[in-house]
Amino acid sequence: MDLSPIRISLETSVAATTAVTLTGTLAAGWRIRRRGVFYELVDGFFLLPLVLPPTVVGFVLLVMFGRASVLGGMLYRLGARLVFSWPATVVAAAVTTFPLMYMTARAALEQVDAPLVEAARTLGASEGRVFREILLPLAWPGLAAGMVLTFARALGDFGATLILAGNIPGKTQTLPLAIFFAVESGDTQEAVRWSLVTVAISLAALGALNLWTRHRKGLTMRVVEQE
Amino acid sequence: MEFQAEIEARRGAFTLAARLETRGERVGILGESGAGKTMTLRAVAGLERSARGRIVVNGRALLDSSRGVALPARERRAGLVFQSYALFPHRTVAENVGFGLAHARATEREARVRDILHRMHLEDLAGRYPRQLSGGQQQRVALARALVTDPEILLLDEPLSALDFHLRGLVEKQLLDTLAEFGGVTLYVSHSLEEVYRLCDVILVLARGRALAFGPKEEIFRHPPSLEAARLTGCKNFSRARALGEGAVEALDWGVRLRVVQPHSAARHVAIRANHVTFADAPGGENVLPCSLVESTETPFRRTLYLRLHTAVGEGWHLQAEVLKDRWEELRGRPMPWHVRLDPERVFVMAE
Amino acid sequence: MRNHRVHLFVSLAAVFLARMAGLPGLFPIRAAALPQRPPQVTVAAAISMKDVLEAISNLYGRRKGAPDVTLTFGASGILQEQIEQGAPVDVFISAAPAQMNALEKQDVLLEGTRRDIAGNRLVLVVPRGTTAVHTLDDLKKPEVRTIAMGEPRSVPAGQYAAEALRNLGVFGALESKFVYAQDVRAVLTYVAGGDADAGLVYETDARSSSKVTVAAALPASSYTPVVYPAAVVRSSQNPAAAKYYLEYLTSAEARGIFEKYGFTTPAK
Repeated sequence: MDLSPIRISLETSVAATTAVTLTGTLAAGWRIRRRGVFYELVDGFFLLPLVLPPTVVGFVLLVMFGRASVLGGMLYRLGARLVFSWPATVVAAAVTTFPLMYMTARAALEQVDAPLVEAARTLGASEGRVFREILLPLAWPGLAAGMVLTFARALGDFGATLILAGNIPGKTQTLPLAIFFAVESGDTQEAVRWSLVTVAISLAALGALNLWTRHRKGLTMRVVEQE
Repeated sequence: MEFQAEIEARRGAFTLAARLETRGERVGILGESGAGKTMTLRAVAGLERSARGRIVVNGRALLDSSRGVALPARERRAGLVFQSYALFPHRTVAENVGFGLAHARATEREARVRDILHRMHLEDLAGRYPRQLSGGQQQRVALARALVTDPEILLLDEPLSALDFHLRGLVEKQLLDTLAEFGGVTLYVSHSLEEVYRLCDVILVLARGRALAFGPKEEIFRHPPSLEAARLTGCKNFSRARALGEGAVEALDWGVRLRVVQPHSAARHVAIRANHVTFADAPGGENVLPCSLVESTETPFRRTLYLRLHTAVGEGWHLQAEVLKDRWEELRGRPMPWHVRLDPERVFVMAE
Repeated sequence: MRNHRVHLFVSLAAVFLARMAGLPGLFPIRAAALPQRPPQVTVAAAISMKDVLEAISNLYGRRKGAPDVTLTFGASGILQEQIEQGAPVDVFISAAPAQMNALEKQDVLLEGTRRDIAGNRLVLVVPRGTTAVHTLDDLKKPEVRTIAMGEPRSVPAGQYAAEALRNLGVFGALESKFVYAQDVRAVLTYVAGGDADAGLVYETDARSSSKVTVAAALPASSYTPVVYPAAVVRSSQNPAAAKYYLEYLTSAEARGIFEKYGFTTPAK
């Protein structure tokens, strides 16, 4: 039996989660505690993939990166083929999950006690150091939750993946695609098998992340409120 | 050492306008909650984005709006001790204290941290986390953390307010020792006038974002420039007044003529502190008024007496007097009316 | 405060009324019982028939007394499942015999109504303006990186394409280049955009897009003829009307339209 959907889904989800965790956390770090219409517009832009149906997201990506477009045409001439390639599965999953990580990271970073950030600044820390040594460690539980959400959503992406990466068994056929086409062709047994595998992976990932969070939480304390 | 500040800042509908300067005297910033005391500290530290004006320390401008200078907090060399201490919960005491020394070499950093922990009697706690410390210990760690970086300015935001009452005396003494060693400018914020009086030399009195008074503490307490400054510095007895010439004013609310020592030609109010109200043995002397005791309350060490002046109109009491417990024992047996004396040297005369 | 409440009330009322307007849809039988309406025929057809059947509907609608026809389109496999599950369909038109056979075996069809109403041909399409591919063998060239076709297990056009390529002995050589789409429209989109270098679709599909050109036709001998069987479903509430419609589809008028769209029509 061809087990490639499992391998492809794992590779795609891990790659997408890594990319989105990095970019989403950095974007959130840049965004927090700033006010103004510009920043709210940026929020709207970042949240778009969450608001649009996944197939629309996939279609937009196809239009952006397809050979017929300006950007895609350029890539094509350089020899890069994004559409129907494995990287396209990562792009599709990353774009659809970015809003989740971004929102979660923002909330997690913003709930870090403001005086702690200010104290670090008065002690000479650069913004980068404040982010690395104060915000990130103290926002960790929230960030971990964001990573779990991202991984689960990336694992389950269908619409955007199908349109941008296509259904190529052994190359871009992820578990959700395999499930869909199994259902389409009437092979319910196969669909059920893939579904169970997907559930098992999700639970395993969730469990692993929970364990890691609990370990790190032991090192994180709360500021003792004294009034 | 020199420090000059003229600060304007705003947050929402609240605006702050304050100015102060010092040549090494400790400056206490006194006022009620919401007066703008913390905002002043934050403006000096570089945490108040809306701050405008001029802040110069030893010739170095931290803020100069006219020249577009506004140093970020990390370049100001101002150590701030927050009211909530703001210790990093995920770092040990030693790591907290060493946080501001990241630019130094590891050996030097360890040495300086060890040194200050020792001086502030915190060495045994070096490996603990903030949540494992008592309030007093946390306060000392916060102070150590600010001091170890050799700041030019030390900013203390209500350092004793979060402590249990019985701890305050001890911690205050330790604080005094530490501050005595510190060679830079100290700004000390508190709503407690006793604390500010004990620990500082010069006082800035703030109310609703405006400075009511600035100057040496004795000056402010002896000659508060305004009604509100008098009230904020603990004065309890006020009366509307009218100048009568020749060293006398008429206290309208008290119904009596008083001899005063302070300039009085433009007198509109007079006031006297509760602890300056004394009791005469006989009636008829200068500034002696007959009165009756309406009620009294006690604190562990004093008694506050609420007196009705026989010369005044209106129900209830007109004057508060504070006496020590043994004086009270002497007084309580005496028959009414009692006679209070308002020492002319102690009567404040205010032009507003 | 008062404005808020009024606003909220009006919004809720508007939503409520809008919902109520759709309520008759919940009671199809009652709707059908409304007087003075001709009998309704629901036709479920393969997606590949969409354009041609809609064109035929225009002609058909001009006939007096003809039953009202509602067209619904989908993948043949899904339609088959839906009919098996009892969907209220009167006429089923499939893109391949397989689905019709399955229904026939389960006795879901009305006896004697099954007939083939059209045929199709498999062609190789390429993006308009490209010149690399003229024959099937050209597909083996390295410049041809992606070939799009329908997923063989669920899309009839893909099934035929796979069959043809296997019979021609080239399936193995080309397999690594295939992208399987969920329907022929997607195949056309891929080829039209240039993201697929070639695609396998029906002639009718090729004609529907101006951005693709037909490079070659697959030899008819390499695949089972593509026929579109149609039949009346046994559970139809309007068998007479359904048969009427089916008859019309084999009339000269209708055949003309089929051929205009690229279908072949069965010999009379």
